[in-house]
Amino acid sequence: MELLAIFVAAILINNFVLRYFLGICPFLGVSKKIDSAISMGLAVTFVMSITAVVSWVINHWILIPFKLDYLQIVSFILVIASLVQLVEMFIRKISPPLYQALGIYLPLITTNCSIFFLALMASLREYNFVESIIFGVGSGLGFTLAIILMAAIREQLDHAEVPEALKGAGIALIVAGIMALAFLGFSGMIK
Amino acid sequence: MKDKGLVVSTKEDMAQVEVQCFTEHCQNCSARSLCVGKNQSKGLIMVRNPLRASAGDEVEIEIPDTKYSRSLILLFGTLLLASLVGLGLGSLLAPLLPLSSSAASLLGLLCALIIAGIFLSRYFRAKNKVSLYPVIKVITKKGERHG
Repeated sequence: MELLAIFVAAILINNFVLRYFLGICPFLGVSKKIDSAISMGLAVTFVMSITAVVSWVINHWILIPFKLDYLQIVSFILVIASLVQLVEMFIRKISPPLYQALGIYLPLITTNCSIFFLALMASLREYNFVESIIFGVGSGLGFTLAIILMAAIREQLDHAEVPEALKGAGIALIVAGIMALAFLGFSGMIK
Repeated sequence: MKDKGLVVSTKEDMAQVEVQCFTEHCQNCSARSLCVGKNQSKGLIMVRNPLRASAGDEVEIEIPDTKYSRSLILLFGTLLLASLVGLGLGSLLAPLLPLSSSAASLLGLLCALIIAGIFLSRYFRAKNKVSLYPVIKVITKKGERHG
């Protein structure tokens, strides 16, 4: 039950994008088409899941036993950057055209503050191994849900008559604000 | 999505093209500076050459958006699924191994990622051979640019 609560809370209640306003750059930058939003969401979910595992391992097997807790921030940044770099090397090796097409995707993941927040939050809340994984996957799915909803709305907005001054980032931020308000409705689900 | 590039060499109906760092979608991106350092080296890709562009020509290549989106979904979807399955299997098999639950899960994750990596590598290598992108326009011929 505890695991389910962590999972649901990470997706709906404590959604990183709509509750904490983290990861806004890829959220706004890659939410113009549903296809791109799904691939970005999956990429972030994958990196978040692996980050949750690796950061837990580093924290509990190295930092805490050797009393190196003060290196948490540096080590988590290194973990995220190394993971993304590994994924990038792998993609460049298996499919150079895909690597070219990725363009800004992977750098956006490396610099995505929500992934760093995930690693720090899992450590602060003293989650165990399984809870960390559930939290990582849930947070990634929460990001995916938010970005897909945003992409769906923005695709519809292409056919709407938006005032000239609000076109582009303006209307996108208003939509994000309304979505955040809507997600507040979930806050009473789990105490 | 269209990309510009320089033909490096040609072979039968194919051409090896040195593509520029940024696709047209990146031109107005505020985070573009993030890529500059990383992608300064240009990438070489093999393309179909129906217009018979020759080495030294500047060409435009057509890259369908949906193709990439599907490939990306497949790539990250497979990696994500493999990680979850690996973690789950590792955790389930932990009592049978002389390892703690977290160590077994980590081992499961590593094995699953290696298997997924091999599968994806084979899949994309096979796919790269059959679905090459075409040259759709020769922007400048080699002689024209230097003349």
